[in-house]
Amino acid sequence: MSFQELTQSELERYDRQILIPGWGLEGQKRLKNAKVAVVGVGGLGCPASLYLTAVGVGKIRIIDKEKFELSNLNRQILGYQTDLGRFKVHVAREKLKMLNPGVEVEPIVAEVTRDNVHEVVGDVDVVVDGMDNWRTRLVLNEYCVSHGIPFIHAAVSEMYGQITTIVAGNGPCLKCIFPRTPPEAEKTPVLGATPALLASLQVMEVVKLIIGIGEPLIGRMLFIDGRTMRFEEVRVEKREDCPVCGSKR
Amino acid sequence: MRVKVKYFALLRELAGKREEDVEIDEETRVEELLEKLSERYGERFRDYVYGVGEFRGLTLMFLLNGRNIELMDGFKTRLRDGDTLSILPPVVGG
Repeated sequence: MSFQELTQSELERYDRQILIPGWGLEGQKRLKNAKVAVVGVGGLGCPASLYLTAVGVGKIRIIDKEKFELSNLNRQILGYQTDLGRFKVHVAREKLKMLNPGVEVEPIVAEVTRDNVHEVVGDVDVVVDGMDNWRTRLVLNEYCVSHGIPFIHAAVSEMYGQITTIVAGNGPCLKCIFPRTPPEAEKTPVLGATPALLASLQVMEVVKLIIGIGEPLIGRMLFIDGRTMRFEEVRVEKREDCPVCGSKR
Repeated sequence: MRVKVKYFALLRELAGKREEDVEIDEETRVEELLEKLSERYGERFRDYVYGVGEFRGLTLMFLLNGRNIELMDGFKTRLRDGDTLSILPPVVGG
């Protein structure tokens, strides 16, 4: 597909962000020509896909196998009362298109597995982690590392959250940081504003990587503690013998 | 020698601080440091750190200078002067 220029309406829609130093028309065009996958349309994936749509990422692939349930609605803000029982990705697409019809939204009802990740996630510029389990996160991590796709990891619990950006070759991957799969949780306690905060940070990372501005969160994991309202960075190191990304595998 | 310990989530409340420098003997292992801290901060701290009692099933992440201690000798890992040990809770949701 050829590189798409910006329309008059887009220049107006994106005016306030085009003004950001280092962004400009060139940055906005890069976003328009970019493709991002949001895997999981839950507490993280709903606000992440909203902001990716608002910012003008050209193509957004949203992936989730679930339908909206009542207990989702405290945090999965694309789902309204009237959407209960409908597939999240179908509901999300409708709302995202209402927000910004110029963005192409591709809904996929599926659970990402090792067998289908090539087909389901496919060839994208960035993958946003909206998962609620480690099994799938580690599948995404491996896929992204092997295809050189940046992967924006985030996870939440209660009023806590963590986020790090994984760019193969430039820092650790998830397997470096979590050599043993962390325990899964059936039901995570969570305040909706927590994933919303983390999703906003994920979108900032996506945009920075696509436009090529700022400094990505590579080799650093930002831990957010909403209880004490403190953000703190922890260094995370790459393993040369990492079975996924190591040079001495 | 001296190491830095960084606490996250509930540990901040149990220890009453976000981080501290701890004086330890040469060759001290992670578990010996945790024992020393548990004596200082009490039973709940110990239970939380080891995922026992009230916190049974909890698995924390211990990063020593940015590397998970599981990649070294786990709780038997020996500490060196100037090391930073960060103790983080598991966060899984999305």
